[in-house]
Amino acid sequence: MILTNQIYHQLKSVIDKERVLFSIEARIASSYDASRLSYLPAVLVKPINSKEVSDILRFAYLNTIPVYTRGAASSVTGSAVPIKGGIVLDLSLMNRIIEINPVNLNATIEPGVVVTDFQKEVEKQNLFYPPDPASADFCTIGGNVATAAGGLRCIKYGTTRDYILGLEVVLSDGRIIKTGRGTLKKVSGYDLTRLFVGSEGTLGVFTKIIVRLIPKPPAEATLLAFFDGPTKPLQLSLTLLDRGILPRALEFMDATSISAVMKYKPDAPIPPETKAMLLIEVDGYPQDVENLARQVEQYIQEAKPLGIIRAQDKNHSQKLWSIRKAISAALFSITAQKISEDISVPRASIIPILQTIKEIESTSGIPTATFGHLGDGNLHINFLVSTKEHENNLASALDCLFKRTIELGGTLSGEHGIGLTKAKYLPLEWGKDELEIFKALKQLFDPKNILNAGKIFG
Amino acid sequence: MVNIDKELERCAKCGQCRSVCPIFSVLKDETLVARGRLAIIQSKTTASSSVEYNDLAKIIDTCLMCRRCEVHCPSLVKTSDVFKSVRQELVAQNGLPSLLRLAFRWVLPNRWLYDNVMRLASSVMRLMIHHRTRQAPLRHLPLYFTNLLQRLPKLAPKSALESIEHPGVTSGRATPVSIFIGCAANYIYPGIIDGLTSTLNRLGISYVIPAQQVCCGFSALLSGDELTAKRLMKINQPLFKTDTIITVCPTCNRMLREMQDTEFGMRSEIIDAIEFLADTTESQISNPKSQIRTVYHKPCHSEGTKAPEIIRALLKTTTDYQETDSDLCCGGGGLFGLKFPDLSEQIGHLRLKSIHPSIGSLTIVTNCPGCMMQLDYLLSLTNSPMKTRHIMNILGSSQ
Ligand SMILES: Cc1cc2nc3c(=O)[nH]c(=O)nc-3n(C[C@H](O)[C@H](O)[C@H](O)COP(=O)(O)OP(=O)(O)OC[C@H]3O[C@@H](n4cnc5c(N)ncnc54)[C@H](O)[C@@H]3O)c2cc1C
Ligand code: SF4
Ligand code: SF4
Repeated sequence: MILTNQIYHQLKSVIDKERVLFSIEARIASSYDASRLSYLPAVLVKPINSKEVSDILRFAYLNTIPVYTRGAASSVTGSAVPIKGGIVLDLSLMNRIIEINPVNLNATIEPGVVVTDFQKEVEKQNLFYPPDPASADFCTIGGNVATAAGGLRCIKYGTTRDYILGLEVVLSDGRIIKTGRGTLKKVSGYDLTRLFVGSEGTLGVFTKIIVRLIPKPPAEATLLAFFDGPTKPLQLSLTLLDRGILPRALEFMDATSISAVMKYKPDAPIPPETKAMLLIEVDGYPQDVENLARQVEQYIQEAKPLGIIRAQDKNHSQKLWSIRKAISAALFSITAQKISEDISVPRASIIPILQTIKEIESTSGIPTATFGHLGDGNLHINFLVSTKEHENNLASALDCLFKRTIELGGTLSGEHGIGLTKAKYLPLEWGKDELEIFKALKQLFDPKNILNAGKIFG
Repeated sequence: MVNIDKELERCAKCGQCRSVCPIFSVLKDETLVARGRLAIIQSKTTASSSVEYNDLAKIIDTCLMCRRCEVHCPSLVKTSDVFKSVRQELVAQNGLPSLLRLAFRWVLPNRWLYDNVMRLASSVMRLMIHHRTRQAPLRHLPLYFTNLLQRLPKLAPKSALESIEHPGVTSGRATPVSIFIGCAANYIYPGIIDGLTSTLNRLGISYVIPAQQVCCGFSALLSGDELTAKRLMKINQPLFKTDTIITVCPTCNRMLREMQDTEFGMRSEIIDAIEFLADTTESQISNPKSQIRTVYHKPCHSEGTKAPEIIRALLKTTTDYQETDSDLCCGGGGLFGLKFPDLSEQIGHLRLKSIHPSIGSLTIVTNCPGCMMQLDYLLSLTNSPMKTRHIMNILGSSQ
């Protein structure tokens, strides 16, 4: 293994030296992600094209130096932190939208494009790129592909996985391969695209991404309903689907989340006795949307809510969404530390898993706040850790949560991924044989274990 | 006093600030966005002294102090307080650049001297414009000064304070309001004050304009010169005796309000002129309907206030108003444009690009004379047919 400053000096002959950074400031600014874990890398590089990525990887491969690909570093699992030092490969400068093709309903983009920027561009052409993680304003599409990011409209439109048609990938030794074409259908060879989606930077670096687009639904309606407890909204969400209504968003917020938001946003129009909220959004043609919204409103009324607000216009709708989107930050105003999990369970298991959470709360003494995507069974469960006792009980609380999740047919992570923070739980979900296949694939693509070394498998 | 360590600790490292920082939008450099800056500052507080933070000064300097990161931060980190305090520390260690020091310590607090320096600048500028056409470089002048001369728009022949004949009109409301003018409106855009006073007259609201008022001190404080900022406040404080003080510059407004709980802070209510007008009068503050085509440029320092909403609504009802794509920063940022002219221009051009480039005769309405200076400068570079107007100009001309 070569020394840190040798890496720096040699890399300067690989790409333009202005974009090889070694200062303590640059290294600190590439040491963390939204998990708040932090490890200093040896050096930061900022390539501008596939060729440079390939040259950097070839160099790293020859010298067996770990490489950590970085989008916006909004990962909440530590998947972007350079735990073994080495090179951080920051793709922020590779942010061109190469082509938006309205006839083929696809687009080719570089990985550093920020999701919202891309969505705005395609919407100008009346097209729609549905995946919208709550971090869409700043996270990159490359990061979304690597974490198979979900978001707020998955119940109807699916996750990032469902919109990736093909990739250009630089492998760990610098070879550049292509997976998939711009076509919607494809049965020719193995589906490598799907393998790379969700690989968390451990199998290759995406340098171009072909995404699928759909026509933009012309209208939408947003409703926010308030309840005195969780039972009615949970029942209601099942009722809607039973009656053939497929909303594009179906978001649940529990009592703790709501009380945190009320503190954080005192002007939020939430009735004081609210113990559960449901945010529902439907879309389609204007007439259909109007009918759907009326039906939804009627079903909500039947569930005897404390109140309903229907957004009058886009601006109003954003205000309603801002209540839901504020929860994560709001929780910090009632706790020093929060451990967030994003398990996902089959819809029928939502009620049982919520019961488990209540039990965990009472045995561990750690308060929890649960909110998330009821529509697809992906819940964000936050353990609000504020005392020594909470800290001591956390490990067993998490164990209990994950075990029960797997028993109920669910998964450790619906959208955030495994990264560092959940690596040790992987064997709960996967048996020896599956784990061996995972490792064999990793060995095939990255024989020297340099890509995001230390992640997923610990 | 904010606890800087607590603020640093509060950053959740979420990355939201990457979506709003004007500097990041052009450079894509994490060391220059709030999350990175905070992490660097935090690590410096615990680092051993052998580690050299050679880029720290640059990292702190290349911040517009636009405060967008703070307004949008879900974790409510008071970024501007952190940056300000680090600036002050750096100035305490290294001192101010001498030209700035001269300007802050001597010129800003002295109305007479300030007037005369501006007059001098204006004559030199005329000379310069003459020179510029002959491509004569001004390399021997210190960088600040050259940039200042190049970027300063034409000064008004008479400053607002000099042109005021009747500093108080007591025709309408019994209790008058005071007008805080601010440097840019005073020397460059006195028409803003005319627009404001004629609107107040029309609505029968009495006002006073303290003639001895000086700069709000924002630039000095921002550059780490707290001493000058305090001196200026001490001069201004006793001059403003009314219950309400109205401003035409969101930066002055913010500065005056932030200083309210300090020793020399003003004790009155300090409010943006447009918010004051909207709050005070039931009647329409502008007459319908002019045919000018307008867009609104939201000053960063108006983020989180009601002014933008009021102005948008007003323009919608009284002009041919177009919504722009986004609320980008103009890149002006007071002295920032002088220190980093290229960066400032890049940010500004992004802003202009987001205002539909296809639209020709368009008026960019804003409520900040600082933004007007920057936008006017950029428009002059490209000979654009667009022009800028302060919302008070619009109100003033709609008799
Ligand atoms: C406030 C907030 C809200 C969030 N909401 C959601 C949500 O609703 N849904 C959701 O799914 N996630 C959410 N996240 C998590 C996070 O935003 C996503 O995981 C996102 O996909 C990460 O993108 P990024 O660009 O920040 O990638 P990074 O965090 O930089 O990287 C994430 C992983 O992707 C790898 N990677 C990045 N780019 C590439 C590339 N080009 N090639 C190969 N590997 C690459 C990295 O090595 C790393 O392993 C949220 C995060 C925050 C802070
Ligand atoms: S938005 Fe606030 S909490 Fe998030 S990274 Fe920026 S400063 Fe930190
Ligand atoms: S104040 Fe403005 S320029 Fe400075 S870090 Fe925040 S957003 Fe960026």
